[in-house]
Amino acid sequence: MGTQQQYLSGLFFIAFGALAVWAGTDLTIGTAADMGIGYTPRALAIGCVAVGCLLLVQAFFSSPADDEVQLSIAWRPLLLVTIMVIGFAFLLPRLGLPLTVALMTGAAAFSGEKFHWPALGAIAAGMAVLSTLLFSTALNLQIPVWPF
Amino acid sequence: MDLFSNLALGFSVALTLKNLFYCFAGALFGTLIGVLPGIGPLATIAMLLPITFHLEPTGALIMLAGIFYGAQYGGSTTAILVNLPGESSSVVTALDGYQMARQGRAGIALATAALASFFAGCVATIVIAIAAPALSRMALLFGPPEFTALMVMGLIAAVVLASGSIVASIGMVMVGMLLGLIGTDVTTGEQRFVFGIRQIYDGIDFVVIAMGLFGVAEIIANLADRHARELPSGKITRLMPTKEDVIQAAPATVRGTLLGSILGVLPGGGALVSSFASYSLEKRLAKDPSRFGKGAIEGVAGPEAANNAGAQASFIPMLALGIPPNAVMALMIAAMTIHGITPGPKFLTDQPTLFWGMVVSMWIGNMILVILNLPLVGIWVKLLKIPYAYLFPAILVFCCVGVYSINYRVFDVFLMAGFGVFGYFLRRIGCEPAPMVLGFILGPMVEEQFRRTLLLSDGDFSIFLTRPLSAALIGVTVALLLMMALPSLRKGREEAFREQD
Repeated sequence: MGTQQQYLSGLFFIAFGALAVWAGTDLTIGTAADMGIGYTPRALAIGCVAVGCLLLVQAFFSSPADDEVQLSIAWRPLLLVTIMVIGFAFLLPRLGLPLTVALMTGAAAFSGEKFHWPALGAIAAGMAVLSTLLFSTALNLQIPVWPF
Repeated sequence: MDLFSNLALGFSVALTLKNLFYCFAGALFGTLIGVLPGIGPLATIAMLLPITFHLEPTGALIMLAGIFYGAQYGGSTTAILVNLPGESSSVVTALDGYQMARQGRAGIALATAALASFFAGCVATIVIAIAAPALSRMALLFGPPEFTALMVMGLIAAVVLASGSIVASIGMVMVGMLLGLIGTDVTTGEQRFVFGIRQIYDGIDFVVIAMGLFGVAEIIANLADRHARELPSGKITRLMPTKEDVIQAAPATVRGTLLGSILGVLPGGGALVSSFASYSLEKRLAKDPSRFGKGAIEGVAGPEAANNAGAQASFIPMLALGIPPNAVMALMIAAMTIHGITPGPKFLTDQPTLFWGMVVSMWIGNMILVILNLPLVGIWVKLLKIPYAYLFPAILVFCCVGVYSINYRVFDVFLMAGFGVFGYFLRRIGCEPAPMVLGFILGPMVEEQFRRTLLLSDGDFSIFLTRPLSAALIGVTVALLLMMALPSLRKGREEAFREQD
């Protein structure tokens, strides 16, 4: 019996391939001489499913060490970083760059890393000013700066 | 001779004050970001891409190349000082480099890495100047079947030469190709897999994927793996190697350079394979192999020369054929496309100033790196001491602004968040995202050539085997796959990559 990772990777490829087959049902397949836009995607999707099956078979016949059987996900960084990025996308058009950056930097307080509030505050303020000066003033990127 | 007049042309472009500045700025920023732990060349280039948006193409390309080898070099600095390779190609540098640092020879290790890289860079620049035009002349003989076969060979080689499960990597390539096909089909104008989302009618932007998989996902992984980070200890005192060091390091440097120049050109090759190959070679040639892993200077000089030569040589297939041999070059193609440049056989003849200016600026850039890095090493050390809690939000801001500024829309940032989660998940289940990125760029190219080939042969697949060049390429691909099926060779491959652990 293999590891959770092995089974999950097998299932992932099967699921991805199946999704691609399903999403591509309406695309014309055509023939080899006159390919429709569905030809290559279908071939690749079937390839994905085949890879997934092969991985499952491999997993079934392998014998891993005990300590690598469990899959571990670091939920806290995963959630925090995702929220920070989504937060950036959500807040930027509403608050402008400096405020968004300051809030985003401040959110690092929840990372579980060691930090000091005064330093983090200073860095948040510094990043807000510097990023605005760099991206908006110096590089002239069309980024909203002020809240409106 | 042609070569000299071409190089002279290159110097006239690269030595203008403006381009020198771009080269310098690129190398500086590249090193600055590349030094940060966990940020490899791919993420660095993607992050710094917006800086080049407003430059004219020559300046932008020179700067991008500068960023690339700066990042490459920055990775070695981190590897030596804190045993944390910024990118996979400096993994082997960390083995002996970090040990040297612990013995108080950090400065010497850094200087050796810098000088070996510089030597390799000089040689590789000449190799590019000679090999790229030759290769692009040869590419003019290629038809659709040859291009299809060549790209398939490249993808398979990339899989075989990378670490990790081969089956899963082939799967990742196909996932990448499927993602690459999203959007409007060039030939028919019909849309595929867009699910009614207007923002992806033109396909998903490569930078969004690269930044999600290698920027955001990497930050998540770094935050999760906290105890892996060590602080650099001690002061860097002596920089210059002794005479004895030089005698030991010089032959390793030459061997590493040769190895890197050859392996870098191969499809799927580049910095990573070159450095691993060089380390194994040095260990095998050494009189006393047990010194390796305990601070052998050859173990720094060889792989560093090899990875720099390999990194630069991988520009050859990218520029001459328009086919990226690895994920970083795929990003370079994407970056060039943003500036309206399409690399390929015609690039060299149509845009000689751009090509030769870039080649020469690589050499200048390598020199700048030596000048920049040896005196500034103290600053890089300080940078490494910044706690990650302050560092990662700053990196994340760069990623977000970078992705936002490609099309000035927040949709891309949301998409990047999605790919970040996807990338982290893939890594956890043991699937390396690098082959996927390569597949993403090559997917539409392979499809187009594949379609043309079969149109040409009226649906007859035997065309791949009846044309001698494509038959040879298919032969190599099959041989590569068969080799991996042989247990003894598979074991050899596993051993070669074992140095990582």
